[in-house]
Amino acid sequence: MAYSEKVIDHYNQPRNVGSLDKKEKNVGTGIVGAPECGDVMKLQIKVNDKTGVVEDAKFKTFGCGSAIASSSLATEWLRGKTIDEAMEIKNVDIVNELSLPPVKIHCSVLAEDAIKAAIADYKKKQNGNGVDPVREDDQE
Amino acid sequence: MSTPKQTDQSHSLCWNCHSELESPYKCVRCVKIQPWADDTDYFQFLGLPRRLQIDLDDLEARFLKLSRIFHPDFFQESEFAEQDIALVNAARLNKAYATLKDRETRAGYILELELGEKYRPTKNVPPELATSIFEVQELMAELSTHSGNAAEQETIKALKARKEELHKDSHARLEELDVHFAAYDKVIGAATSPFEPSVRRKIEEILRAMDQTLAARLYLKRIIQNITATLEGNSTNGH
Repeated sequence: MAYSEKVIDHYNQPRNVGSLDKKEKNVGTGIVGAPECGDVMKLQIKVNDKTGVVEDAKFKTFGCGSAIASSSLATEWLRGKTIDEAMEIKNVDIVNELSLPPVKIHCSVLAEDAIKAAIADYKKKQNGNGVDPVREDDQE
Repeated sequence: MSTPKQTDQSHSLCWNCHSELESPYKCVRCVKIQPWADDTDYFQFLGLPRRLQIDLDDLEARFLKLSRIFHPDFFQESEFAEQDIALVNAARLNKAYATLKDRETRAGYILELELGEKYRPTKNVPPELATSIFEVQELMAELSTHSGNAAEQETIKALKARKEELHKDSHARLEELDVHFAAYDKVIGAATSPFEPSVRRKIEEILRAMDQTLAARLYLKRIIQNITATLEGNSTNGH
């Protein structure tokens, strides 16, 4: 199966690879995994306390080219977005942008899950150890 | 051995002599073996109730008994139609036995049976498992950058320890299946009708938990294989 040019570009030059300090209060961390392919993805956001804007986003993914490209693209899109805007990022947008074939759609789902998990973690930290409002709304 | 339920009228008549069948396996009148009806699942064919706690000795005895009925070797001189039935039934019987014998495949089978076409294995794993797998992946990545120094030995030691932990976790999840099996059998055993909505809800809840356990097991199995391959690759590179 051939990868699209955009996937290859993100794969060869992944944006924002790395880690943020997960202990910091304004850093949200999401780690998600996919049992069927064994992939695992970590995505972190650093949010400006005053503006609620994502100042920095980092990822590290162990997986196939599409998984790497999906998370790389996600960090690009996250930067400069407010938390509410970030919640709007959908896996289909990633699929379209990267021209992912049907067998690789799960990679984009993984990236969306990672974004949601990172935001949930951030919100949880902001609320102290109280309940996490995002996760509750999110339940299927 | 109780006999599978005959729901379809066409299956309760012998394909050869059209007489009423007393056993679903063989016609007593013309002694021809009978085809495995499509709506007969593995439990039914083996004469078992749909329960997940299975006595493996009993399962094996049933399998062997039926194998002796359908073994294709016994039909080498028979007409083609009967040879064909023997071949199909024997193959399906082997599959049925292998599927029900193993707890994981048994769980997978009941999920397919209960949820039918709409069943898709879950793609989610618990966050703590994803985190632990991420850490292991980082260790393995570290290993490929070190070579032959003290740090490499440290990483190898850490990886071996993680592998041990993951093994334990994987084993614990297999035992978790036993808990789900017991819960399933209890609900089915106590229900007057398995189709009653409150019963279905309970069953589906147990099935979801089972699905989660299977996903975690699959993920763990993959990462453990991965660690093994990495450690082996590393030791051969060193020589």
